[in-house]
Amino acid sequence: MKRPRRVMLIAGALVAIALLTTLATMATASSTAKPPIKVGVEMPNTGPLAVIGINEKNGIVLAARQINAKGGINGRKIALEILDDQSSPTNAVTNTTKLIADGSVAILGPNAGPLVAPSSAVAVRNNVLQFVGSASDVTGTTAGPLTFFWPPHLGIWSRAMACYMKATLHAKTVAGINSTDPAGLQTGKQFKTWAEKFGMQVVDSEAVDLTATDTSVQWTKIRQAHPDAVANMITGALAGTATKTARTLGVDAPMIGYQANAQPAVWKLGGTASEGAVISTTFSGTDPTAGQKTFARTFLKNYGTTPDTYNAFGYDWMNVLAYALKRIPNPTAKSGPAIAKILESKKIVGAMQTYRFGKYSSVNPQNSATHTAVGKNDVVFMTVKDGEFYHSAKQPTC
Amino acid sequence: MTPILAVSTVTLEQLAVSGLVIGCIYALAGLGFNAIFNATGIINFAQGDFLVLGGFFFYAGSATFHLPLIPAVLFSLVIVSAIGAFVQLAIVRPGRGSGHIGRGASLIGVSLLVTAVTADVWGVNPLPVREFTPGKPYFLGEVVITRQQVWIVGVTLVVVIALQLFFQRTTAGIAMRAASLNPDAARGVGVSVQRMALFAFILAAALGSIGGILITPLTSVSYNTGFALTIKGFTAAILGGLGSMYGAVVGGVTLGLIESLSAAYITSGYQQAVPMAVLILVFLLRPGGILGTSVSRV
Amino acid sequence: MLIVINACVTLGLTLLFGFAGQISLAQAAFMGVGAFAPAILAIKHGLSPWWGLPVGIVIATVVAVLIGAPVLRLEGLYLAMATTALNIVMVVVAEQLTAITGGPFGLAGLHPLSLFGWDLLNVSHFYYVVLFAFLLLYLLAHRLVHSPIGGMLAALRHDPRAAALAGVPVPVLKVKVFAISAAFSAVGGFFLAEYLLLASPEQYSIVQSLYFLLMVVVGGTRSLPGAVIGAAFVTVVPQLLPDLPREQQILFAASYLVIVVFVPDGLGGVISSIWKRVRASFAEPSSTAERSAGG
Repeated sequence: MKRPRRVMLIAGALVAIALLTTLATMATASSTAKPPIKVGVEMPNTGPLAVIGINEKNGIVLAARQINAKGGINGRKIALEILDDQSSPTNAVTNTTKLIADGSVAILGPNAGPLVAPSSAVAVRNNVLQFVGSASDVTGTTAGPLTFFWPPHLGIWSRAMACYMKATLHAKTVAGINSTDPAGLQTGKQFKTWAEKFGMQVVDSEAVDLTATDTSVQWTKIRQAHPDAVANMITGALAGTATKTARTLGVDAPMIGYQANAQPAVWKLGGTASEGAVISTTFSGTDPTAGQKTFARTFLKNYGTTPDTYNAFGYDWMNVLAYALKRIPNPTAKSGPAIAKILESKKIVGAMQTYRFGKYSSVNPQNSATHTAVGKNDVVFMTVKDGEFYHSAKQPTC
Repeated sequence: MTPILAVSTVTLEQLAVSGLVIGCIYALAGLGFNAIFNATGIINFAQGDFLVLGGFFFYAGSATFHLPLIPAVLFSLVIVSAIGAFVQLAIVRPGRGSGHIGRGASLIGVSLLVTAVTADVWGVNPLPVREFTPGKPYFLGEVVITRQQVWIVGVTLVVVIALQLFFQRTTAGIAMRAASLNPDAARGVGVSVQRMALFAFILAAALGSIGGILITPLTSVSYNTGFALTIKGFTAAILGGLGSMYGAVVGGVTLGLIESLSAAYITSGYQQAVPMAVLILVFLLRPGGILGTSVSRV
Repeated sequence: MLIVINACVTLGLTLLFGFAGQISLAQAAFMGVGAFAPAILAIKHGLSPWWGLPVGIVIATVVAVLIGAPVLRLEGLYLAMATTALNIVMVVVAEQLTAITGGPFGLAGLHPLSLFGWDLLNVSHFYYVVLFAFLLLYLLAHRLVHSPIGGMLAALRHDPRAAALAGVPVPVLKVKVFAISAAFSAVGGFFLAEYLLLASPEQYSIVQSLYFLLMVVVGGTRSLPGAVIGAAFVTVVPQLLPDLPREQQILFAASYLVIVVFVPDGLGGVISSIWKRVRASFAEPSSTAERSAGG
C-alpha cells in the first residue's frame, strides 16, 4: 500500500534529521567544551595508613565535586585521578610517576612520612607542584621549591601542648607518653624541649610501641611521678584506649593530645575516660566556626559522618589549589612555579582557616615558617565532650 | 625523685599483671595454632585473623545489634567457628599435593582476604567495644587490676581446663590426640583423620574468637592487626614448646611478660625487636622451647 | 619493570624453598641489604652507586652464611619463624640506626645509575639492564637445577635424613642455597633502590617477605619460569582496579586463593604441562594418526 510506505518515509526523514541535529550539536559542543584540568591524588587507601588516606581523599573528592558543580575552574572541570599506594613507598613512587606521565597539573598527597620522601623526590625531579602531608622531619633533600607541606612541623604541636599546660593549667610538672613511630618519637623529644623552655619540669617520659595491647606499665610509672598534666603523643587509635587505661590506673592529671590523634573516633575509644581531654588541632566537625559550618554540613550530607581534621585538610587542599589555578590563564603540568608564586604571595581563605605560605627556603626547605600551611597561630584547642570535639573555653597563646 | 628500688618493685608487680593478661591472649592464639598444627601439621597463617574476626563479630553483636553480653559472645563464637570450618572445607582440604607448607600458603590467602573484607565491611576507623562488666578496678596494694583483665585471665583458665578435659575425657578429644600422634594407627581404629582436621580448625577458630572477644574491649578492633597477632601466636607456641598445650600457655605468658619488660625499660623502637631476638636465642639454644618438646634437627 | 625486579628475588626463593625445601621469610631483609648498600655508599660516602651491587651481594651472602648455619638446622615451622624473626629484627635495627640508614624514612635521593654514558634514569634503558641481570640470574639458576646439585636438592627436599645417609652434604648444601637466594635477593634490592632512587626499611618488612612466598606458590614451587609468572601475578593483580582500592584487595586475595587451592602446581606448572603436551604431540604424530585412524 502506498500510505504506510509514505508514512514510513516521512518518519525516516524525521529521525534522520533528529539524528543529524543531535550529532551536529554534539560536535559543536565538544569543540567548544574545554578540556578538564587533571589533578593527581596519591594516597594510601588501603593498608595500615588508610585511616588518614581515605579521610583526606574524601575531603578532596567532595571539594572537587563542589567546584565542578559551580562550573569548574574558569569553565574547565577538575578531573581527579586517584591512585592508591596501599601504604607502600614503592607504590608511592610508581603512582607519582604515572600521575605525572598522565599530565597532572599538580599532585595532592601522599600524606604520611614514609610515603612522602620517595613520592616528592619524583615530583621534584619533574618540576611538578605537590602538596604533601608529613608532620615529621622528612629527609630535607627530597623537598623542593614546588613542595608544600600540610600539616605543619611537629614542633608546632608540641609547642602548643606545652603552651596549654603552662598558660591554662599552670602546670609545674609534666609527663609525656609517646608512641615509637617517627611522629611519636619526634614529638616526644620536642615536647620535652618546649616544656622545659616554658619553665616546667618533665618528671616522666614513656614510650609505647603501636602494636602494644597494654599500656599499664607506662601509666603506672607516670602516676608515680605525679605530673600536673600529661601529654598524650600516641599516634592513632592506641591513644584512646591508653587514656582508658590511664584513668583506670589512677592517672588523674589533665590529658592533652595533638594532631596525630586528633580524630574523635580515636578518643571515643576511651569512653568516659576521654571526657575533658584537650586536643591541639585545627578543626572540629561538631563545633565548626562560622566559616567552617557549610563544609561540615555538606560533608555530613555527602558521607553521613561529621568530618574530622583529615577530611578538612583534604577539602582545603583542593580548594587552595583551585584558588591558585583560577588565577592562572591556562594551567598545565608546567604551571608549578606560577602556582607556587600565588601560594606564597597571597592569604588564601579556605574552609578550615586562612592559609599563609611563606617563601621557599633552600637552606632549610622544611622550615616550618616556609611552605607550610598551618602556623603556630592556627592551632586551636578542643575539649572532648561526649566523645566529640568542642572548642575549649580557654585558647591560650604563648 | 623516688628511690629506684622502690619504684621498680611496684612496677614489677604491675608489669607482671599486664604481662600475664596479654599473655593469656597470646596463649589462646598459641593454643589455636597448636590445635591445627597437631592435627594436620599445617602452619595456620590466619590464626591472628580468627582473633580479629572474633573482635569484629563481637562488635557487630554488641554495638550493631545491641545484644547483651552473653548472646553477643555466643554470636561471635558461633560465626567465627563456622568460618573456621568453612576455611578447612573449602580451602584447605581441596588443596592437593602442596604439602604442609603449601596449605599454609593458602592460609596466607585467607589472612589477606580477611584483612581486605573487614576493611571493606567495617571501614578503616578503629571500633570501640565496651567492657564485659564496667566498673571500678581492683587494688592489690599498689597494683591495679581492671575488671576486664580479671575476665581475661579467668576465661583463659576456664578454657585451658576445659581443653584439658576435652582432650583427656571425651571421645572426640582422645580421637584428635590419637590422630595427631599417629594418623595411621588412628585410622586403623576407625578415626577419620579428615574429620579430626575439621574439628581442629573449628577449635582453633573458636579459641581465636574467644581471644579476640576478650581483648577487644581493651584495644578496639581494626582490620590490619591480624598478621601481627598471628606472629604472636606462633611465637607463643614455639617459646613454650610446639605441639604442647601447656607449652602454648607457658609460651604465651612468657611472651606477654617479655613484652611488658621491654615496654618498661626500652623507650625506643627497639621494643619491637626484643621478643624476636629472644625467639632467635631460643632457636639457637633450646629449640624445643621452655617445656622442651623434641625438635628434629638435621 | 617491578615484575623483573621481583622476579630476581622470587627466583632465589624458588631455589631455596621450591627446590631445596627450606622455607624462608627473610628474603625481603636480604633485598633490603642489597638496597641500602648503594644508598649508603653513594649518599654517605660519595662512591658511585654501582659499588653497591657487589658490596650488597657480599654482605647479604655473609649474613646468610653466618645466620644460616645455625638456623637452617631447623625445619618447617621453626625455620619459618626463625627467618621471620630475622627479618623483623633486621628491619627494626634498620629503622633505629638513623645515622646510617636514615631511620624509618630511609634514604631518598639516591644517585641514578649510568652505564657507559647511558643514562639509566630513562626507564626503558633501565629496563634492559635489569632484564639482562635477571637473565644472568636465570641462567645460573637453570644451570644449578640441571646440574648434579639439582639432584641433591631434590633429595634434600624429599627427605633430609635419607639424603644425609646417601652422602649428600646436607648442612653445607642448605647454607649454600640459602646464601645463593640471599645474593639473588640482594641483586633485586639493588635494582629496586636504583629504580625508585629510594631505600626505606618499610619496603623490606616481613609482609614483603610473605609476598615473595606468595609469588613462589603462585608460580609453582618447582618451576623456574614460574618465578616470573608468580612475580608478575603478585605485582600486577593488586593494581588492576585503581578506582576500587578495597575491591581490588579482595580480588587479589580471592584470586590467589583460587590458584593455590585449585592449581597446586602453580601457574608455572600449568604452563609447563601444556608445553609438555604440545611437545609430545609434535614428537609422535604417527602414533596419534594411527590411533585416530583406528577409531
